[in-house]
Amino acid sequence: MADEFAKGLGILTTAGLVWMAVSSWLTTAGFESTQLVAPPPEDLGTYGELAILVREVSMWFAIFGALAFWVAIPAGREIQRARAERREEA
Amino acid sequence: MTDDTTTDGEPRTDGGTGIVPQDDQAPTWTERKARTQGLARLTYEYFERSRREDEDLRHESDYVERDVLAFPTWPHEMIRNLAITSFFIGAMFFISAAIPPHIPSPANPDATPAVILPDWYLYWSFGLLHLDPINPELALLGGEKLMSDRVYGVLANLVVVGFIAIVPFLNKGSARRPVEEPFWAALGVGGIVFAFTISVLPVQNLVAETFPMTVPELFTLTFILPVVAFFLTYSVLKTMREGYMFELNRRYYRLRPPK
Amino acid sequence: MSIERKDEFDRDEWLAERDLSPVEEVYLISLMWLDKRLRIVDYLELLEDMYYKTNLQMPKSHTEQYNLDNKFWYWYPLYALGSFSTIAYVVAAITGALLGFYYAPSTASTEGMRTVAYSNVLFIMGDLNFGFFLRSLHRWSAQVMTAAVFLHMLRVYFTGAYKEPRELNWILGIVLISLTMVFGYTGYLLPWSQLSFWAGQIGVEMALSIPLVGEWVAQLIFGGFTLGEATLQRMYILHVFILPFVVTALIAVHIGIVWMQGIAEPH
Repeated sequence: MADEFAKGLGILTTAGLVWMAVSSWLTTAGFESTQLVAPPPEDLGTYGELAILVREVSMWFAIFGALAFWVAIPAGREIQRARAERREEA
Repeated sequence: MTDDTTTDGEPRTDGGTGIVPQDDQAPTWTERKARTQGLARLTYEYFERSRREDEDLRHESDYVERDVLAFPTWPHEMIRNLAITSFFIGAMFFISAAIPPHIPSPANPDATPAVILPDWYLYWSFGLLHLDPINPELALLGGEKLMSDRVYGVLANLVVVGFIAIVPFLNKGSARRPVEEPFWAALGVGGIVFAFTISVLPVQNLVAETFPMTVPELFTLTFILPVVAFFLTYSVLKTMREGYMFELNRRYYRLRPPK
Repeated sequence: MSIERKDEFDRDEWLAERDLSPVEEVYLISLMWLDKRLRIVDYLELLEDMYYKTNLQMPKSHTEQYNLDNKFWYWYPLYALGSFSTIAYVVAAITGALLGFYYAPSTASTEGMRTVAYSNVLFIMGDLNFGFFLRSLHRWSAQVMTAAVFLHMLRVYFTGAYKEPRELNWILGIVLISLTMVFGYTGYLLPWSQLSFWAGQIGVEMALSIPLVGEWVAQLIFGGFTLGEATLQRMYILHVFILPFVVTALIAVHIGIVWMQGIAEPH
């Protein structure tokens, strides 16, 4: 239980940190306007586009990673256990 | 006598400062202490006594291993902490390099900005200054408030900090885990939620713009949400408690069977 | 029979009877030569002592003894928060000293609305080599320290680590967390930007609303009822002179008490 939680948390925080770093550079319009989720500027160049890609990837990795370890894997184990119990009963 | 450098017939090389080396005749430290009066003597007596009590307890104890009261700070904890914190410090350097701070426009006493806010860690305190709707009015004073809203806000800060300070005197005992004490854990969670909701209170204008919510509704929510969090945590921990405590006690008594 | 008295400290004879290789002999002779002059043996003992102290076989901790939770490892970062805030404090102190070389707390106007203080910050961020990173690091380490201190307090609360016999350290911790916030607040005012100025305004109003002594407090801490040169200088002295001494001393006491009492563990 605890290790699944820690793995999910690790993924969420690490990927979230990468997402936040890129977002603060490229998709922050200003301190007093939209922060982190503003649309990226037009002419970014190759590296800028790459950074935006990294931003997208890290965001989905954070979301799906946390979901996988906190929800999907424990749920899968519960289902397996329930099936095994049913098999024993039968 | 003090001026005489040859009191006992022997010449002195130290110029007769009165400082003599300790010999069999000089009182020992213990004797010197025992002769003192008043508070000094009381202190000494207490220490002697507590040392003897410790000795007695140690003799009576039947534990072969150290009776664990705490985890050693040095070296276990410190070395482990250094390993973990080095990683976090690395993350801190990364953040400083990747997310540089903002510098707002220079101070202008004539132009009040739209949003006045302190740094984030003072939001809770700033929120407590906005409690004027619940400043009690006294019927005796003809509906006048006992104290001004500002004084009330400062007082609220003091009350919150003061309550946190006396927690160790209210909650005693050896229980450590939240499941062992659902009430105090729930109080803590309620407090955290309250810290967040009270932080939102000063930016009520922004909230009212973004969410379909009036300011009084927000004010009510500020106090309702922590209570909801309290009862949620309490009930969850209460449900968890039985099984958890059973496991804990089983492990404990397996190692230290009752006599 | 030689005239010279032989004693057990005759090192030459000892060397001769040992039948050493040239390397060993040179090493031993130079060691003896140095030891005669510098008493290396004393320091060796010191090192040895330190070695055995750090390699002590500590008694089993509570978690090991009762095999409470073999995944307890995952909670270790929470137990490192106090150390983390201390190290963040050290980083903030070093970067702060470096920033202090280029900063002067003056509200004298340079151009337009800009003051000397504000221009200095602009210089640090724009012209100084590594200045932008330095300020960034100072600011982030301050933020991180505050955040870590808050989380540390929550950890202590939820693991019941404040209980007897640790009440005093809990109260000391509350004093420290308050001083940390004062540290942050005084630092927030130093760039003398729009945010700094209006945060200072709130501070003056808060001080003034204290019953009986409010005006006196405002005079003492903010140097008057309106913000100006005096306010900035007082904030500066609080931030770089008074608070560092007080907070460092209190942190030392706080950690010293933890060292004496040990880390409270859940059980």
